[in-house]
Amino acid sequence: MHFFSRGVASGVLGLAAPPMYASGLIVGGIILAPGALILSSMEQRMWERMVTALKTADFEQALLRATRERANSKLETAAQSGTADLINVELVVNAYGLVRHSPDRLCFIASIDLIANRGGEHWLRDRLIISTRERSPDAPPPQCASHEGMAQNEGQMVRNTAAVYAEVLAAMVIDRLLNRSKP
Amino acid sequence: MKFRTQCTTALVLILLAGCATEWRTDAPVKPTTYAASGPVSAGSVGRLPRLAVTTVILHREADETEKATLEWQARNETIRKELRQEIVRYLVEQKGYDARSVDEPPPGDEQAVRATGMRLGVDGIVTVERRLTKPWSTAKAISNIFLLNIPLVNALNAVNLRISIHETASGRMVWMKEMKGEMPDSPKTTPDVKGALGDLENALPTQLRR
Repeated sequence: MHFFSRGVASGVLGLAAPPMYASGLIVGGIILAPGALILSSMEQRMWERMVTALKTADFEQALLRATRERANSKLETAAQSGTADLINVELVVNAYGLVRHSPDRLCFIASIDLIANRGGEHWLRDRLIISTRERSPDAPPPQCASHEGMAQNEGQMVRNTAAVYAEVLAAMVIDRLLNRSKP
Repeated sequence: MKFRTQCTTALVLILLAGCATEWRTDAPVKPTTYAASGPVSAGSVGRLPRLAVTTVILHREADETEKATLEWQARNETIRKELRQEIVRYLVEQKGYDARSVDEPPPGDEQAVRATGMRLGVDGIVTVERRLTKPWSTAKAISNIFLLNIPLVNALNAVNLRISIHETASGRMVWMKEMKGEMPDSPKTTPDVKGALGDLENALPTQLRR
């Protein structure tokens, strides 16, 4: 009984506690450190895939091509009827790409300025936005997804979205030009 | 060393993916209400912009006496209605689909999907299945310890929400998402619709369906 006198048990616990905590830290570290490293490298790879997909999408060229094609088909009737006038159209790409919408979600946004001059005078100016905020009234909702969703299949969703946005923005541009032409 | 790293990565991925499972078809997705064209890839669900959301299939755990009460039936209807409304709202506002509720059960087989889809004039049918369980009792929690956490693992792997989309053209399933983890039956329990539909491709915009 003398062995278990007051203070002895506490002393034993006091001696045992530091190695217990140390072993806990080591075991926790062994589990957590590689996990954090793996997650970090996975996220880095996901971002690399998304960035590569964005670069290869060539958004500006796709927008220009889509606008020309739509202009050729939609404005052809106006040109044939002789009502068309020479209009100089400029498209300024303000921004496009991925923004963080919430900690686990990314959204693909795009913003372009449409500037049209007729006979050397200002004729139309408008901003077309596909975004979570201040979206143009005729614009579709932005494509949002998780990091994994955006990055899967080498960023297929990013490439698809860039192609769709180029076509949609081109259609919105032509709609505005046609609406402005109406008497 | 490389193999070990790959194994560890695969293990972490499996653990991370444990809470949700997504499946999508490899075959081309075909709309029926417009001529498919444009820049969207052939396998994208976004090519099915017009969707009908059928009645929610609901599984709720309870005693037989409780199931016979009117409150039980009323609560079932409320859960079904609210979940379907939330799914339709999310598909329309966040994903750009022309989704609408239809008061009929999900079609049984591919032929029924084709017939229902054609009759409703939609590109696809959305089926929703919800499972709610009774909260764990103390006895079940204690027995879990003696059963080496096997009930806990089963509970974490149980599906609480399954949303699937079948295309009208072929009747085949083209997309499916399962949210995992036992969901206790409580008025405060809300389905994770954003988590379930968040990675779905947006619908092909109306400008490109002309």
